[in-house]
Amino acid sequence: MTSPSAPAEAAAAVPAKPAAEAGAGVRFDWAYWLFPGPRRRFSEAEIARSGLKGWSSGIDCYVMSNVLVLGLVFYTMLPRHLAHVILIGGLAMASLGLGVGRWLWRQPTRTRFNGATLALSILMVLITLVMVKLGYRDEARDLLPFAAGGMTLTVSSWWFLTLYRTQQLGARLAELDAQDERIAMAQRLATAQIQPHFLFNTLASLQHWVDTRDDRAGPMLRSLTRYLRATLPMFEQDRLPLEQELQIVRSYLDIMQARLGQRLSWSLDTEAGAGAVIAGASLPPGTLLTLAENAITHGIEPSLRGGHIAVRVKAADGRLRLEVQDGGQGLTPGACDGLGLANTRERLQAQFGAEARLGLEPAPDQAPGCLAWVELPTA
Amino acid sequence: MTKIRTLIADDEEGPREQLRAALARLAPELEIVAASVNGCDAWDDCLEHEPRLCFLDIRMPGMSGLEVAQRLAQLAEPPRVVFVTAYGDHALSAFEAGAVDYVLKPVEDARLEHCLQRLRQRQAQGAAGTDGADGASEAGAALPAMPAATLELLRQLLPAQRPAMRPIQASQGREIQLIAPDDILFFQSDSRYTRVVHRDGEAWIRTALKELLSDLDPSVFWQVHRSVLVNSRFIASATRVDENTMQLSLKGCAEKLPVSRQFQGLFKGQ
Repeated sequence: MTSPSAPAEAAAAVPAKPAAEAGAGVRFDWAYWLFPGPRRRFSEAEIARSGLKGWSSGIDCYVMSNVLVLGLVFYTMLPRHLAHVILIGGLAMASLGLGVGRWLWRQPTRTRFNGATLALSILMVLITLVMVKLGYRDEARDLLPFAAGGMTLTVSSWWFLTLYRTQQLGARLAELDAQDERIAMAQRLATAQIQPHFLFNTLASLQHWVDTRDDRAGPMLRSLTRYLRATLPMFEQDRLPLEQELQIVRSYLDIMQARLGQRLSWSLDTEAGAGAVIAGASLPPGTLLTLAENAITHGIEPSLRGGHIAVRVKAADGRLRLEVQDGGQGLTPGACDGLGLANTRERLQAQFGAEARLGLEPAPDQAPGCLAWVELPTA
Repeated sequence: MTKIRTLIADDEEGPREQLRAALARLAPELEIVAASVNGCDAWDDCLEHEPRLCFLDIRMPGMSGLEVAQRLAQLAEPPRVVFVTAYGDHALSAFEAGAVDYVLKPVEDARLEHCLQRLRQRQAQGAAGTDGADGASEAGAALPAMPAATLELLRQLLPAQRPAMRPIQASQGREIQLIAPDDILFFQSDSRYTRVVHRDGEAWIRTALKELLSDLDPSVFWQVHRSVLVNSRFIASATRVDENTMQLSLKGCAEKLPVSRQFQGLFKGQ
């Protein structure tokens, strides 16, 4: 009864191959001969999470009716005195096979598959022995090919069922994982993107200036509109032209300047000759904005006297360097990447690999505050 | 009727003036005695003007609104505090859960009115509680102090450990002198400078006293007067001079330091 093991070996050898190749030369894994089946074992929680439908009773009806129809069609061709035994035996084997199939469907492990195969073999041997003992030796011999055929069919069905179910669960779980990952990413991006604190504080200033007919209201509203128009669809794209990113940073700093008044001054300098590089450069959206936001929230806002923010764009040797230097509070010891920076780092990594770098350090030349920079390849 | 002395603090002009205008419109019983532009000023203005009600923005440079509130809570007669915050602040969820007075920016009349209503109710309860004896004269001051729940919340929200105290840098001519906080007896603020008296003499620095506060460990350096911050390790004794006046004597220093009424609770005797 090793016939089902042949396809078993063929199928099981596929996933085993890379491991064998990675090892020393070609290694034959005897475990697949003796104990074939999928290695992965799904926990109850994983199976529940997959949300896949359970065993359908439609399958039972389908299999049983097929066996019955086949049995009746070939009834006349079967050995006359054994035809009814074969038909009833076939139906019994089919219902047994279905029961085990259901059991394998719930938990498709190789232990279950091999256990079922072994049990069926023992059962068949026992039945044969009993028949011989009771004096039905000839009948037993005549039945043997039918029993062997039925068994091969049953065990093969179990085998494919186990494999199919494992694949199905694995694929579904992988799909769910990917989905969760996307949702988590989107949420992180959304948090990084719309800072409600920023929005409502801006609206508070705006509200007051509108109420008091202050001249600052108009430019502030225009900057806010520009900022929102650019940032809201921003994160749907993988890349944003640098020129657009600079525009977002300008409107952001305009808003903050209006809000903070004398506490903030800012400048945006482009290195002479970097114009061509800027025109062609693109980067993950929000990269520079995150640095500017950090300079405001961790540098300027906590500082009693405020300070200056210098945004600089430099290009050299096919690389683009963006700097945001603030003259504010400075790095607190033990400061670590906030949500924004970790996010930015991740997205840079995803797009440029090791080619992109991000750094945060104390401002150079004994100046107060800190310097954040990003370097990207421009090609 | 005496108006309730009120302080508002926000580091941004827009929200600050918006709140001032809204309060003027909705609560004529309040008198805005100070509008502070950062946490340090808010604290200092509280000592100077002794408001009975404070509207404190959470995120302010120098000291956060929460830190100011915590300091206020230790005064002899702490004012009532209402926090002002924008949606998205991490403290907001704690406020919503606890019995803390807060208003959201941008301030909306309806919500502010609701908050004021609550304060008026508390005031009425407080006035009834004080039995009317000094209730008449202090009708404006009868707002009950910060509830225990608020204090507990502040303890949870504020980080427990403080950064290590850095040496104070005082320039004397071309030389910059570094003074270890442990060696400092007290700070005293003058009109423009702060006097630093230490074991080996004294120095003058430009940083205002109120701005030093957040860099120094409050368990070591005690503020005993609006203009005096003393290292508690050097305090030898506190002497009551008359009903309102108390003086501190220091170890290794002949100078006597005044303790203002607001801080006399620090020296109770046991």
